[in-house]
Amino acid sequence: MSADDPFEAIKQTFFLECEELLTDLETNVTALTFGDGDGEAINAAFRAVHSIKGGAGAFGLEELVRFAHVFETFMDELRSGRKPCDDQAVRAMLHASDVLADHISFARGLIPAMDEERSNTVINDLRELIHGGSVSTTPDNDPDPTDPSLEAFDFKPVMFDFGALPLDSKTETAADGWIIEFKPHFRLYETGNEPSLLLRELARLGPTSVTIDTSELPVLSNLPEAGSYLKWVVELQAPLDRHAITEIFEFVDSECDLNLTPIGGLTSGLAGVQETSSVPVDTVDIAALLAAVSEDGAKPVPAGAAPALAEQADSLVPSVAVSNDTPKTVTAPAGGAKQVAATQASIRVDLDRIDKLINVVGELVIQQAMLAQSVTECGLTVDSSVKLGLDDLELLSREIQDSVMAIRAQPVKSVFQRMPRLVREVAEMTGKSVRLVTEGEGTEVDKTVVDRLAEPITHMIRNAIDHGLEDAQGRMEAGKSKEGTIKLAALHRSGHIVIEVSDDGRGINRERVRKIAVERGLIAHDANLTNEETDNLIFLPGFSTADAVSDISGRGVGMDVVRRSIQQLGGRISIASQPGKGSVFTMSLPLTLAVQDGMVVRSGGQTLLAPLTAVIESFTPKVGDLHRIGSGDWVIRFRDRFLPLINIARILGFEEADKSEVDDIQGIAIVVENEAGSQAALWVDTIQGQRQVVIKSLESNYRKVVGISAATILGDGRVALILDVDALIALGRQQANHVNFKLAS
Amino acid sequence: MTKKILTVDDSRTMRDMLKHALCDAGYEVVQAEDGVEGLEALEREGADVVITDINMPRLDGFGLIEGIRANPVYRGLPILVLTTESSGEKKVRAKEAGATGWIIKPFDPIKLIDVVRRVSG
Amino acid sequence: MGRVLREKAKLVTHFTLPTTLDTRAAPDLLEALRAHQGQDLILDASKVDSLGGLCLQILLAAKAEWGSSPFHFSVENPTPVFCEQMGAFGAAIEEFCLQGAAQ
Repeated sequence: MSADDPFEAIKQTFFLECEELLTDLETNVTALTFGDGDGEAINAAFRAVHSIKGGAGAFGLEELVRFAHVFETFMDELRSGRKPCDDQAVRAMLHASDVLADHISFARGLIPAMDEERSNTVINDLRELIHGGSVSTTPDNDPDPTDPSLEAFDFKPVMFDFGALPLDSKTETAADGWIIEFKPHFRLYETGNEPSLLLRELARLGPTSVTIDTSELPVLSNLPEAGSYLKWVVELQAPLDRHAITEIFEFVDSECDLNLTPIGGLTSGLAGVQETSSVPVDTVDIAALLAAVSEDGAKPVPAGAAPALAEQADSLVPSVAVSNDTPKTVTAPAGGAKQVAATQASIRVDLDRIDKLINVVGELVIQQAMLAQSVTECGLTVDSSVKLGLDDLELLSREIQDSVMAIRAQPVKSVFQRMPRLVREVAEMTGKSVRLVTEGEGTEVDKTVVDRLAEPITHMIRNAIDHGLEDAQGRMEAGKSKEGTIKLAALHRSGHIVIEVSDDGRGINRERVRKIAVERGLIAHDANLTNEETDNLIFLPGFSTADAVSDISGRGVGMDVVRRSIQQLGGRISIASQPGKGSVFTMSLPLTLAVQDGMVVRSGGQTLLAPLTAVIESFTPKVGDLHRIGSGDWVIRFRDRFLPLINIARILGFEEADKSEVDDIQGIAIVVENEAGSQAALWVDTIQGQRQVVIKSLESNYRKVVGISAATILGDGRVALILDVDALIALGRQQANHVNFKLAS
Repeated sequence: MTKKILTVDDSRTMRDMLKHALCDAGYEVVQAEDGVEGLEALEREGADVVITDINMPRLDGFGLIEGIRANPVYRGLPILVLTTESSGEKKVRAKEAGATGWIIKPFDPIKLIDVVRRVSG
Repeated sequence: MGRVLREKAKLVTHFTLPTTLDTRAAPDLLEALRAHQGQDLILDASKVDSLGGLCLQILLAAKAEWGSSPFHFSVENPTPVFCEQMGAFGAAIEEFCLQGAAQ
């Protein structure tokens, strides 16, 4: 199981490929669902399952192979047109796709157990469809759900179930060896087989003596180009089973005359051709046999061979004539050309390697910035060649960084395509009729982000179907179509990827939300909230409770957890709702988690970085803007509100005591906002500018520090800590509540 | 002299497995993802043996074999088809198209090399 | 006798066999050998490193053709591989060489 184990590595490749194949399968079956699939859709779906089966077989994943095989057999019926590709068939394929995905997840160790019952049910359904209902419909009566009649035929690593000669049906072992008469047809050469190799293989089995028979060979001037006239008689001295020899001729069974005669009779007791079985074979006997055999065998051949040869000679002529055109005629059928370009232009690279490259490029950018700073400090003029060269270098460094980041970019398609299944399942559980529409699948985002999109999207979709959409009756009453629509869209907006999950359901019941929020003590009963603020209450910790969360959308997880996980990615989530019309969840995430744009600030003698995504505004407050509340918390007037003022230096422990008096305060307030829209002002000494930095995780290098999310290295080589704005706002919230309380009273 | 083998399969897993087994046995491996690419790769790089899958997008294994056999330059070039189907039909069709022989998936690497050696020397 | 041989030798065509005598090489070999019919022919096998069934067939047919003609036909400088493969086919290389020596 070591990482160097090539088998294990290929197995991992296989699972990765399975993900792609499942996606292909899903896409094509979905196309069939909407009736816009054509013959190619079913073919492509078939190929996907076929490839999964092929790989699974190689790794001995028997359950997966068995399931894939039945599935594949079913699709073969569809693509051959033997069975209609109707609604029932498509539904069966959707279910089978889901179970196939489970089988793969199980084989991969991603899920602890396989739902055998479901798998068997689907297998039975498929078999029923394959057999047109002729098979028992009660799975309980069937101890082996995988129908041996279907199974036994296929997928045994047996090399010669076809190539075997007709007389090869029983095991026959010669006592002393075999006389092998072998006359290749011209077709044998045409298919790329070669008598010399076959003779060599025979020689591997034991001592051989080879005699060539040229009796049918014409002289050169009469020799057709496409003719085969040589014949060989090989005497092999080895007490072998007939199979051992026919295996060698497996590929050329129908392309040669082959006769096997045991020497010394057959040990199985079957009648041997020769009567000399009891006598040890000596060379004289063999020579005599050889002569006898070649006399017998030589005669009947020409009669049968001649017409065949003539035919082959004919067929060779046109095949040569068309040769120049053929490569053209076999190039891409329409529609495939794009795909080639894509596949040809891609290589697969370990993520580790790319990450290493990103780190090194990050260092390069930093180094370049340090150099630029040193040069500036040397007092060179702006138009000096060194300075100009450095400017170019900076551009190039940035370009390299962008290009490297682009390598990690992936379309969100891989996540989006898992959603149709989810929608189906949740729709089934809730008894609602739902159509999923996706948009912007090709939107690219850093791989780290793609991998972590699935969970929040899943949750939002569950929530939308369960809480957002009305049931069929409710929709009818509201004058809507019976089928609800969930839209999942991705788009780029100002350096972020925005994921929207919208539904055309009932919208948020604000009264109820407000009631719950008051009950839970999340807001004051007389709090004055805008509609938007009310909607966003559902993201507050402690909002979701047992009666607000059904087992479908909730799974014990509230929206606050979704928000938390998105915040951890440096993203934000919000909801907009229109009563009676539906809701839109909007989640905005950075395009990458590897670099970040930040505002460089100084506080308490430290250099810090405030993520630009969280920064609303910065300003130098006038004296009258600052107020001290109660025991020592500060608030600051920002527009028409008071925000808690968080003194970074103090809260992170850079300054021991609160020495500041209002009159003394010299600094800058940076207004930050978290995803829920809560704002606070960070108090810092100075702002030094903005820059993009490579994020170095503190947790992996040091430990989790409250208020700090990560670190980076600045151009001058100093380490700068990156502020965790959410945590800081949470810290400031106590102050904020305090403030609200004071203001309210 | 190192023999060059062209493997044509739309499955990355299968290509990896073939490559691993063949490289281990000292062969040089050229890869293609479907029949069209296979023909292009053969023209571009040549090969001593071709191993091809049957079910592939754009141009399947049968088409690839016919394409190769139609060109006298590749006369006698050994072509092995990979097939999971041990049923006769696929093999007969492959043979008709001009295949030299077949390898049944899943394959044992040792057997694979045996078969390759049997058709290529 | 020696004189005759020497005079004849002047007319002998030397043809160098290609390195690879596989299925693909067969049509060219057939054509090349046919082009030398009616001449004394010595095949130089010093470069051959493989020999397949179809080319063997052509060489044997050529030997038979020349054998029924007054002209000389033989193989010279066979590589060990050539001899070995001839042997594996059950065709004695000596026959090709001896024939030349005998005449």
